[in-house]
Amino acid sequence: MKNHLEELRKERGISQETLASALEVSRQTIGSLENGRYNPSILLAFKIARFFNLTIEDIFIYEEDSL
Amino acid sequence: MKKKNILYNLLCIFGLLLHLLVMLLYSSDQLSRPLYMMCSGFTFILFSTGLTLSLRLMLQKNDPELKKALEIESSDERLRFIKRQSSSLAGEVLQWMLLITALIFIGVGAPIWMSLVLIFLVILKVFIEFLISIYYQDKF
Repeated sequence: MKNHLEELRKERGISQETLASALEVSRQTIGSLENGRYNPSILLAFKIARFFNLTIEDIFIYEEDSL
Repeated sequence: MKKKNILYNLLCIFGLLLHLLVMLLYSSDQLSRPLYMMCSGFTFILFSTGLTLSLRLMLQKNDPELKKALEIESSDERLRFIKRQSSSLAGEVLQWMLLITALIFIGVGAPIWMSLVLIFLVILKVFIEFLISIYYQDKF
C-alpha cells in the first residue's frame, strides 16, 4: 500500500517527531509508514486521516498487487 | 502508580528474604549445591526484576517526557507487531532446535528420557499453541 504521508507532512511543515507525538506512535513508525514498509492498522489510518482533515483514501492508495 | 510501586518493592524484598533463607538452608547443609544454585538464580531474578521495575517507575515519576516515551513504546502498534512477530519466530526456531537436539541425543546414544523430554516439550508447545488459537477464534 502506497501513501502520501510524507508529502502531506512536508506540505504542512510538520516534523516526523511532531506527527508521531500527535498520533502517539514512535518517530520510527512514521518513517516506516512513509517508506511504505509498514501498513497501519485501520485505527491508526483513521487517526492519520483525522489529523490531516482528510479521508483515508486521500492518504492511502490501495494496490491489489501489494497483498 | 502507588500500588505498582508497592508491588515492585514487595517483589524486591521477597526476593532478598528468599535468598537469605536459601543461603541459611545451604549453610546448614539442608540444600544440595545444584538446588542452591537454582534457588539463588530464582531469587536473584525476583530481586532484580523488582528493583528494575521500581527504579523505572521512580525515573518515570521524575521525568514526564520519559514516561510519555515509555508509554508510546508500549502502545506503538508497529513495535507491538514487531515484538509479536519476533516472539512467534523465536518460538518456531526454539521448537526446531529442540527437535534437532533430541535427534542428536539419540545419535550420540544419550539416555532416551533426555530425547523424550525434548519431544514432550515440542508437543506441549504445539498443544498450547492450539489452545491459544481456539481462545482467539472465540475472541475474534
